[in-house]
Amino acid sequence: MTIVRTILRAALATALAGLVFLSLAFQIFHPPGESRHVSWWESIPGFFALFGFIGCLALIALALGLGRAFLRKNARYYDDD
Amino acid sequence: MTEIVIPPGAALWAGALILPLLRRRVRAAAFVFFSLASLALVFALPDGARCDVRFLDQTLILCRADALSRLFGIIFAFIAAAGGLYALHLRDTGQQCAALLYAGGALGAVYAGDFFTFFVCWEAMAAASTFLVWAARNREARRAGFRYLLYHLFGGGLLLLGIFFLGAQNGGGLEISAFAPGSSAAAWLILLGVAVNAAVVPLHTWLPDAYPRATVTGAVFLSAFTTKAAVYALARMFPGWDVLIWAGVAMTLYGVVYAVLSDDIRGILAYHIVSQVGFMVAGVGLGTEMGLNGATAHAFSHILYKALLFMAAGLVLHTTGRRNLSELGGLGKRQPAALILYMIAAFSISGVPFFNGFISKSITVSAAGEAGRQAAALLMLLASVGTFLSVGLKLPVFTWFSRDRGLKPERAPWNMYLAMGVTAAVCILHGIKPGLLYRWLPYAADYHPYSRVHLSETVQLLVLTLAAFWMCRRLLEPHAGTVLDFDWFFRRPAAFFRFLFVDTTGRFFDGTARASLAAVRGLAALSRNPYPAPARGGVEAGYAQDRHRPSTRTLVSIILAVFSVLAALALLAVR
Repeated sequence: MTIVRTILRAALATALAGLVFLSLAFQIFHPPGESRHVSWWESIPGFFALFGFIGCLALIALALGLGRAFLRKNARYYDDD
Repeated sequence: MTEIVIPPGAALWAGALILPLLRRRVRAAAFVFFSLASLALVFALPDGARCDVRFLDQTLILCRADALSRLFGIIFAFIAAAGGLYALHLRDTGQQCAALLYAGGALGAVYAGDFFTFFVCWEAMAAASTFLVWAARNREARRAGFRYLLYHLFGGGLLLLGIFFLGAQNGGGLEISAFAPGSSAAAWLILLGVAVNAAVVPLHTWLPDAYPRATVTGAVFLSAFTTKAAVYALARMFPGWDVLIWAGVAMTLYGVVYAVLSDDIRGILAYHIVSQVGFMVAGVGLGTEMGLNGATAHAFSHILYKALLFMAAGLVLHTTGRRNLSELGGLGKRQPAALILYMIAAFSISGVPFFNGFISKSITVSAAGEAGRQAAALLMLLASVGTFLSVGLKLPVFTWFSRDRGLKPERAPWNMYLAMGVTAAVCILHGIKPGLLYRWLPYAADYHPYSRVHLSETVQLLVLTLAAFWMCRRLLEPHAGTVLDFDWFFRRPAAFFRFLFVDTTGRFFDGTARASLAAVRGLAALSRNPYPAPARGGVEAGYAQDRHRPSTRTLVSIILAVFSVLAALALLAVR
C-alpha cells in the first residue's frame, strides 16, 4: 500500500512539474500578443510560478506571524468574560 | 389584456405560510416544490415586467424584472431548491419555514423596484436567517445569533435612515436607481447599510461568528443569500464607486489570512465568503461592463460552489459530530464520495480550469487589469493563491487525509449526496460551457478564459502554491482556539459595559425600589399609629385603643394651644 502511494505521489508530482515546464516553454516561445491587453507581469515568463510560490509562503508567514503575535487565543477566551 | 406579474419571492413566502398546514412527512418535499415554483416564476417573467401597487401615498414596485435581477433570481431559486433537497431528511418545521422566508426575502429584494419594498424584504431576510442560527439550539448558537441580529438591525437602521433622507431629498420618490459616486449623505448611509450585509471589513464579523454555529442545513442557505443579495444591491445602486475597489481587495486578502488561522471547517469557509465577496465588491467598484459582468458571474458561481462546500462540511459535521480540523483526519477512506464532491467545489473556488470559479474569477481579475487597476488585479491574484491554500489544500488534507483518528462516521442520508451531486454538476457544466452563464449576464460577454496564455498562468500559479503548501504543511497543523477579529472591540469590553449599563442600572433600580417600599411601609405604619415611633425608636404596627388613645386633657390642651396661637396671630395681623 505504501509503495502504491509513493508511486502515485511521484507520478502526480512528475505530471504537475511537467505541466509547469510546458507552460513555461509556452510563455518563452509564445510571448503575449500585441493586440491583447497585457499587464507588465504577464510578459515575464514564469512570473506566475514565482508569484504563486512566494505569495503562498508570504501569506502563511503573515497569518502565522499575526496568529502568534496576538490573534490566537485559547478556546474559552470570550466565555471567560 | 393585462399581464399578471407575480413576484417570484411570493411562491416562497406562500410556501412558508402553507408548509405548517401540510402533513409533517411531506413538508420537506413541499419545500423543494415551492423553490422550484419560484424558479419557474423567475423564468416566466420577461424583461421589463413590473408589478406596481398603491400603498398610502406611494406606488410600491413589488417586482421589476431585468437581466440583473433575473441572474440573481435564477441562482437564488435554484439554490433554495438544492438546499431543500439537502435538507429533505429534516423534520423541523420552524427551520423549514425560516429558510423559505429567508429565500423569499432574498428573491423579493432582488426584484424590488422601490426602497420600501427592498427594506421590508431586507429585514425579513435578517429576521428569518437569525432563526437558522438559533435552530442549532445550543448556547453558542444562541449568543452568536443575538450578535448576528444586532449587527443586522444596525445595518437595517443605517439603510432606513438613508431611505428617509432619500425620500426627503426626492420629495417622497423611492424608486431604486444607481447613485452617482459620492452623491449624497443618503447614498452613503444606504451604502453603509448594504456594506454590513456584504460583510465588508470591518463590518464582517457577524459572518464568521454566526455561520459556523448555524445548523448543518441552515448554513447552506446562509452561505447563499445575505451577502449575495448585498452584492446585487451594490451592483444595482453603487456601480463605479471607487471606494468599493479597495474595500473589495481588502476583503479578498483579509478573508484568506484569517482562513489560514481558523480551525473550524465552516469557519474557514465563512472567512472565504468574505474573501470571495471581496472579488464581487471590487468588480462592482470598477463599474465597467466587464467588471459588473465579473461581479455578477462570480456571485452566481460562488453561490453554487460555496453551497456545495457548506454541504460537504455539513455532511462531515452531521456524520462525525466534529467541526474542527484539530479533531478530524483520515476520513477519505470512509467518505470518498463526500471528498470528491468537496474537491469539485474546492477546485471551483480556487479557479482551477474547467470549474465555474475559473471563469468568473478570471473575468473579474481581467476587468481590473483592463481598467488599469494593476495593483488591484495583482492583489486579487494573491488572494486566489490564499483561497487554494486554505480551501483547496489545508481543509481537505486535514479532514480527509492526514492523521487517521479512527473516526467512524455515520451513514449520511442519500438526499445530502444527491443535492451535492446536482450542485457539483452545475459547477462543472458552467466551467466547461461558460456560454451557459454568459447569456444571463447583465451585459454582452465576449471573454475567452481558455486561451493558452491564461491556462499557462493558472497552471503555474496553482502548482507552485501546492508546492509551497507541501513544504509548509507541518506549520499549518490545525490548533484549537479562538482567533481574534474586529468583534474583539465589542465582545471584550462587553463585560464592562454590561456592568456599567445593565448591572449598575439594575442595582440602582432594585435599591430604589427597596427603599421606596420600606418608606411606604414605614409611612403606612406611622399614619396608622404615630405614638410608638418616638417612644420606642420604631414603628408598632398594631393599634391598641386603650393603650394608645390620648387622654381628654391632652386633647383639650392641644386645642387650647392651637386656639391661643391663632388668636395671637390674629391680634398681630389686626395691629
